[in-house]
Amino acid sequence: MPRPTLEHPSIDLELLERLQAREPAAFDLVVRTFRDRIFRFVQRGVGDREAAEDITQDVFVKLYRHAPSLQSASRFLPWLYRTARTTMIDHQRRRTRERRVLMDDESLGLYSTEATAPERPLVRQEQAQALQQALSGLAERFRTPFLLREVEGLRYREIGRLLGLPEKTISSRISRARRLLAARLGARHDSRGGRS
Amino acid sequence: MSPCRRIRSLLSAYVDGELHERQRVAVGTHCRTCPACREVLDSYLEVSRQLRELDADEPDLSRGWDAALAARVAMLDEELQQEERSRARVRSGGAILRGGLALAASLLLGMCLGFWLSGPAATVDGGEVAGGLVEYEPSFTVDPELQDFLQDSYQLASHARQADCLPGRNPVEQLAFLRDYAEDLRVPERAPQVRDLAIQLEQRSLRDQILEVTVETDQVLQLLDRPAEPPQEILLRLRFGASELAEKTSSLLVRLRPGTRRFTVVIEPRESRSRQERLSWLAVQGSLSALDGRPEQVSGIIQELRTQLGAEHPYVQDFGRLWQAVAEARAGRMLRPENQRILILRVPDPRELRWLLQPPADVEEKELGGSAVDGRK
Repeated sequence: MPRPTLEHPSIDLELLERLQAREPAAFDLVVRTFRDRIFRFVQRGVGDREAAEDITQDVFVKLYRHAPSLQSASRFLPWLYRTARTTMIDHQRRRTRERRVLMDDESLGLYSTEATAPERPLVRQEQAQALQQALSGLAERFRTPFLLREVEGLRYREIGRLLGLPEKTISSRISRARRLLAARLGARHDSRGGRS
Repeated sequence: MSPCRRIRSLLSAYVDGELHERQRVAVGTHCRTCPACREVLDSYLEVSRQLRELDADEPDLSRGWDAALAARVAMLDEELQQEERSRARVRSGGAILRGGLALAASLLLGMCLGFWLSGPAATVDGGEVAGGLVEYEPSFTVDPELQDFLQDSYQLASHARQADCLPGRNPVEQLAFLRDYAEDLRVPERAPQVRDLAIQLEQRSLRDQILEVTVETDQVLQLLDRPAEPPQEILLRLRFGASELAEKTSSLLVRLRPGTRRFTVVIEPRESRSRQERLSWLAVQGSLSALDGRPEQVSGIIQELRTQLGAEHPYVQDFGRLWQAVAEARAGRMLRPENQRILILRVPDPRELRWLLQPPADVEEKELGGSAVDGRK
């Protein structure tokens, strides 16, 4: 399936109708099609793999709950992103409030830890960590449009519609996010250079 | 603005390919000859490169994620079926009160009305009432179409508010913005609402917003989940004129469903007290007096509204009609079809909402069924 954009229906009408009826096969298909995309988006946002997996699950649970009220195929993907975004914001608020570490349910053996430690060269691993930290340090209003652009490849106009903001605002927020990230990564790079 | 500064403000959009041809060429040409701007551009490209690398390295979702989701969905499915069964039980369990659930059409315009039906439910006399009246069961599961509409109106109001709140944006831009959003609306009959809202924006009438109503729904549902309490009804009609109020109301209605656990109401009168504001507050007071079952006050308020607005004013007519509906319901008579467009909620004790009757200046932190309600400005 080609990578959907917000401008093209991400699911067809028939699939939408089956999803509205909560047909298991239709729901599975939708999950398989969009889970990685939503997961990546969320993971870049929260910077925590386990939390991102939980949030992604929450998004699809919400999808199942609200499936009958989904309106149109073309509005499906924006709905999914908006839900991911609000779920992520809720999660971060909760985490800030409770100051507790999210734990997965190891007793049920629901998660494998094998995939959580990717093999990367040390330098790249450090770089990745620094980038993730810088991303997590961005205010949500800058990070979300930036990730929707960079990770999801959406156009400014699409992001604007998705977030309910004018295109100009999206442009300036993405620009601000880039400037901040470049400055933070640059500073890190400079400080490493200074020490060596 | 210096050339470099202007170019730098365009660099991010340049990286994203979002510039017009003329701007794109200008940025490219400049960066070829200006090392400082080139360096900034490179730093942006480097961020993008690193992010791509990060994504490429990232493993997929854990094994077991699918199984965990399937387990959660199965639980949810069970929950949904249970809700459906309990709704079916309520439907077959004898009449409580007849009324319709259809306040969607009135959400975006108007003011706020609310009524208590403090009389016992049995006023309708138990048995089946003929005449096509729909038995209402307070499950808060609104039909999908209504829910869609509410969600739309919520978003629409949110967009409108955003547009209004953005400093320096002129009404023409705001209208374009709303029209753009209106394209998203599937049902054409909603277009007039968008237009009305756009006109309101253009007239900047949203600045005259009167009250902010923030509603959380947990508490009322907690009350609803206590079947041992003697059932009483709130007859609540909500019509708001300002988009923010519509948003808040829609928000309430969208979120009213089993599983939600908080219900607090905050009414914050604005400091400036325009005529519209005073009238609206009067209306709210009237509604709440009606809620509290004080007909003599309601009559006085209706009279005052007639004087202020004229007897033909739609709000005055609606108010009178709804008061009539309350009276009919109290008297155990069948609601007339035109009075069916009401939402009936059940809570144990109407007096818990009495604090709302206080005038704006006195609205203070109160308890609503054990939950703190912050009503201060």
